[in-house]
Amino acid sequence: MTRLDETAAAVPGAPPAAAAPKRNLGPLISIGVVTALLVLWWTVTTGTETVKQLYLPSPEALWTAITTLNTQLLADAGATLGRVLASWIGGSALGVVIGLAMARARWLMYALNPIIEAVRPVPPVALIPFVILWFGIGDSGKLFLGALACFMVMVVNTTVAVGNVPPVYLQAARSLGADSGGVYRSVVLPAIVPEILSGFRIGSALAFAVVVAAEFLGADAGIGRLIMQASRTLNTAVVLLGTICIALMAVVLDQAISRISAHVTRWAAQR
Amino acid sequence: MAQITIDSVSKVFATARKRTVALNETSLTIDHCETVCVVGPSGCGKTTMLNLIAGFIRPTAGSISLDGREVEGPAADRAVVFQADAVFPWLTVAGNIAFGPRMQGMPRARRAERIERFLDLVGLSDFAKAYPKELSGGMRKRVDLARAYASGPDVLLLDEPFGALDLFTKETMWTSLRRVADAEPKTIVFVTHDIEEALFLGDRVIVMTPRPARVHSVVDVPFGPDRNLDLRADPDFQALRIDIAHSLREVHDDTA
Repeated sequence: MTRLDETAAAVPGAPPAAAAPKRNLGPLISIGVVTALLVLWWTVTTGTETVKQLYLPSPEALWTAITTLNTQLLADAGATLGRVLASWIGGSALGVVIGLAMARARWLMYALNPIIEAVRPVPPVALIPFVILWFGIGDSGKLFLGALACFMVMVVNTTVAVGNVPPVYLQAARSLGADSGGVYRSVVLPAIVPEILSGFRIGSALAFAVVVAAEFLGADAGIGRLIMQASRTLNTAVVLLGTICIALMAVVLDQAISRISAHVTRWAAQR
Repeated sequence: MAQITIDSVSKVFATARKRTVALNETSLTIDHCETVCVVGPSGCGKTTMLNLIAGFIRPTAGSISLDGREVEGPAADRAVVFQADAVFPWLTVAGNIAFGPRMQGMPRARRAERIERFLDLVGLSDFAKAYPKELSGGMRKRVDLARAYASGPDVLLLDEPFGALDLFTKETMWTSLRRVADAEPKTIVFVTHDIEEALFLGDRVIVMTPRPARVHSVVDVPFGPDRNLDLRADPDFQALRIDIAHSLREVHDDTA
């Protein structure tokens, strides 16, 4: 019953809610597990050399890879991140717009739904051969694939979100004097924000997966290309480095989105 | 002026397999600034009647008019408080109360004045900036009531608004409603299955028959405008309550 606590705390002059807040052990557990894994990694590679460098490069080998690659690593990471951001923003925005339009106009729903339902279960990666034929190995094909993945997530998310708006909100708004435009702007749009934001989050992870996979099959720059090239010479230190790069970028982006959405949807009951 | 005229209204819900008569040739006149409470067995079409007055649905036959103008759809002259929680969670308490005036294009300064007035009337001035999730169920209902009132309707339609609340919260809500209604009298139609609630709040109590609903009887409530919660202990009050309970049981047994 946090609701009661919050209510009490909001009353001026009410006694402070809790004297000594309980210590939250959650973050400590997370840090502990990560540290343990890092120590284990060092132990089995550098410390005891139980695992061969080829199968799992040591932290030192990873550091050597970083210093050797230097600016090239930054350039590759930048290329991948740029593609991810562009395709994610573009694809998601288009998905929201089309999703809203489909929720608004029945005929559009009937026109587009079969196509969307057919394309949605297909892994975007399966389209790579076609994409290379259509777009070559330049940026546009990778942007197309990343955007397609985000688009599919957002179109479905948006139409479902509009359908989930409680009818009682719409009736209340009408009886308070809102015209249909007012209902749309002041009720439907704000009500779907939490679901839209959670779609953005899913889309961002998907964009990384799809863009890097597309880079595997040919690119002038990008983490995917870096990993593929290194794997041909069995340079597993660089492969590991590339993977870590992707993970870091994805986590940072995801954290940024979730921070922003926690603020934007601070009104929502559960987050 | 805000007089509601319900003239031999029927409402039939038809699906491919079934035809349900929710309301059967019902006629009723609700006077300006009168509080009419509608009681009846559950599923008897009370809510249908309210939705018809609100304009959310259209009658199959007959007509409903407000001061002689036929009701053709929902509009700001008829605000509704629902049983379900209809307070907008993305707006603060003040934002919710401001919704009606904002939609109707009221200037900002007058809006602020109105928000303050109704926050005060429902006793939520300290919670103007709170989001609904921070409020209890009873407080949210008060926001809902204030929001409906602040939009400046001629008619207030309440559909079992306090049905989900516990008795103590309900009593507070009754007092709140009476206080707000005293400050700004309106024509009020209040649907409930709670006979005491109907008698405490209403000038008249309409008893409905089970589906297909018609008006079974109309009870004039003789207690005047000044009522406090102890009124319920009054023998006259209890006598009326038992009368209504009997007639409800009667109409129920007839069909059962």
